[in-house]
Amino acid sequence: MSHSHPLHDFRAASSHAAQDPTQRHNTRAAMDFLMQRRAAQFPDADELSRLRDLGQRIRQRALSRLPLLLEQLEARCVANGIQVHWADTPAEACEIVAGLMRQANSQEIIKGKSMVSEEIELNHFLEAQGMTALESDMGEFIVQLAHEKPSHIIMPAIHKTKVDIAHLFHDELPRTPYTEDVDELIQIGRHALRQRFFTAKVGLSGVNVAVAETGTLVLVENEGNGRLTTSAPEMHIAITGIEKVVEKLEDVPPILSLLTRSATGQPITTYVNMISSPRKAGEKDGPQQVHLVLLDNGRSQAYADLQLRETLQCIRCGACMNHCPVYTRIGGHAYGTTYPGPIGKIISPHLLGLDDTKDLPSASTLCGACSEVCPVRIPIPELLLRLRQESVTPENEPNHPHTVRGQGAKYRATEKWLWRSWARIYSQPVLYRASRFAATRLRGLLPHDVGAWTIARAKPQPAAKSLHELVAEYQATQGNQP
Amino acid sequence: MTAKTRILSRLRAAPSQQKAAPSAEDYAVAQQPWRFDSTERTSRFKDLLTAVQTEIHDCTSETWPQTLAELAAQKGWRNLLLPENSPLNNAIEQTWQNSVSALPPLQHYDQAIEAWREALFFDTDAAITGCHAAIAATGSIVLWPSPSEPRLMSLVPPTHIVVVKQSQLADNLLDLMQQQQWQQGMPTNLVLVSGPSKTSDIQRVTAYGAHGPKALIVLFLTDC
Ligand code: SF4
Repeated sequence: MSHSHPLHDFRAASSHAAQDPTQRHNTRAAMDFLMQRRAAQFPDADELSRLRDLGQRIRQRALSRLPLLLEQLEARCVANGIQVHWADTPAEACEIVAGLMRQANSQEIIKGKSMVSEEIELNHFLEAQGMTALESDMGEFIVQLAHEKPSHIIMPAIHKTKVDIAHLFHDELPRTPYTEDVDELIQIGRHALRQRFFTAKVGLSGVNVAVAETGTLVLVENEGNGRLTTSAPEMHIAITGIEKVVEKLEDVPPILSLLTRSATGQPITTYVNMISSPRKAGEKDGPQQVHLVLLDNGRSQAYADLQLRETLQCIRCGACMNHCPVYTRIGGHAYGTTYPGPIGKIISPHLLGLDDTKDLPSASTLCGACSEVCPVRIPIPELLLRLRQESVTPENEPNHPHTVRGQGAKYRATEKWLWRSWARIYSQPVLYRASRFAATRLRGLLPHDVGAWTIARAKPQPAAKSLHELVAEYQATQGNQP
Repeated sequence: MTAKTRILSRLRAAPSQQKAAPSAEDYAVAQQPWRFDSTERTSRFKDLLTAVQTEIHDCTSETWPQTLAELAAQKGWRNLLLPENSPLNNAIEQTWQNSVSALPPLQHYDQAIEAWREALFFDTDAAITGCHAAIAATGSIVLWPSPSEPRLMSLVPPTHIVVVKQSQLADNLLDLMQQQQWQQGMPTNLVLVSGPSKTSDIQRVTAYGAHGPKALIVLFLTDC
């Protein structure tokens, strides 16, 4: 099996999605809902601002000590009885999970919500090995049943309506009557999955925050599938990116408050599940084994650059996508990456390389809505600009450190030459005046079709006279008065 | 080289940048706005839980077992699961013995899950537990499962009943964990519960009883 991504055509996918009225309607409605919910949670702008300052400080402090904290986390986990595994690549992480499943003698794994497991394409990997992964989060379950991928990191099935889901359940689940009643649909899902929780030997979950001080894994959720995944099977495997660690247990309350209020507009999720060890002697339930898989997959590349490091502050709340005018119009699938929206644009180049993601940093108006809501104050537009620059700077450029895999993917010698010429013209008065003269006098020669520009716009025709000429004429009529 | 050495050496090779830990003053934003007087504390706790379909019954240390018996009769549970040995058990067992009407049989979580997994998953209707503390700011109940009150009790049966004493109410999570010095020793599993299980994954419509309990019932003891 391989993790190579066939080059996703973002341009085609996004323009297709933008012209799909159902997609437009569903995503718009969902984002409006999430934006209103978030706004209602933060009536006090001052409190929000101070809380975001704190969130930013906690995350930056943790990142500044990352290697130390990871070692501390491992030591604490091991002391508590949690086994820790390190994975450099998605392939390594998948191998670790499959190996643990074999060790538990299980062909099947039940999953709580984990975006990192999507990132490493675990389900796909296990299937290729003849093993199965079953999603238990309702949204993920729906998406899996439909053979699709999540379109949003918090609400995976946000692109589907209840009618879509009614048909899906009726068609895909045995002996399921057609119903559009949401309560009934959820009960159908509950019933189908309850049986699987009963039999599952291995459960896999993500992690929202890992606490170095105590070796605690914190998971938030509303459904209870996360608690079941981590409590009912004999073995629990938690998988997380190396950046999710915080220094102290007291970092958890502010991060939780920012996360749940920003993500779904809840003061807190129904469950906050803090796991610090496997079942201890005398305890009657809980997994006998708990494993933690720490995944790098390009994160250390972002870490190596002080500016790009800010990307790793992210707590995956999804607020940036909820507020993004581009995401709202094209939806999550058009991005072709595990993490869509603004966070996807700044993290995916590290996970997949700029060659596979070169259109993402420029698919932004730089309006700044994302950084305005980001609970940990990631300056997303600045990072987009930086990635744009990396994407046109070839790897062998002198005096420019090679920082991002696939750097220079958008570099074109002709474009570079054009800008160089532009710079020369604009810095030499003689050339500048000559080009001005040519542009205004030859304006009629500009063709109607100037490539991509004229697909949706009028052509950029130069004026008949330049500003300099107009000013000169004006001054002449005014007797040269300023 | 192992993955661990590779990852750590890359992180160590990166430029280092000192960042101070946030000060106590910084953390205050997660505490100060969330401190309440005693009336407000109780009403906020109840309002937030009620808003997410939690059933709350005010009782006293004398009356709660009777309230529980009434609920048991009224809701038609086939059985009620008790902790193995909790201070709650005595009062419940007494009330059940003295009851003139038929009440659902009491069971105890007195063996490891492996011995009775099927019965817990498919034939247990309700379970009652105590709690470690409760939080007004977010309307949350802190469960600290133990050998007597194992973690699946509050999760697998469709109804979870929890006894909360008014004196157990804290203002906010950060105050509570600092007062009790949680970092000194975390339990195997610590859970904050803020309502019955729910989901909004289908077209943003909230539906209760996703995978965990469909009903959360709080017996709120106002006199202790
Ligand atoms: S970048 Fe900020 S707003 Fe976006 S998911 Fe991460 S934390 Fe949330």
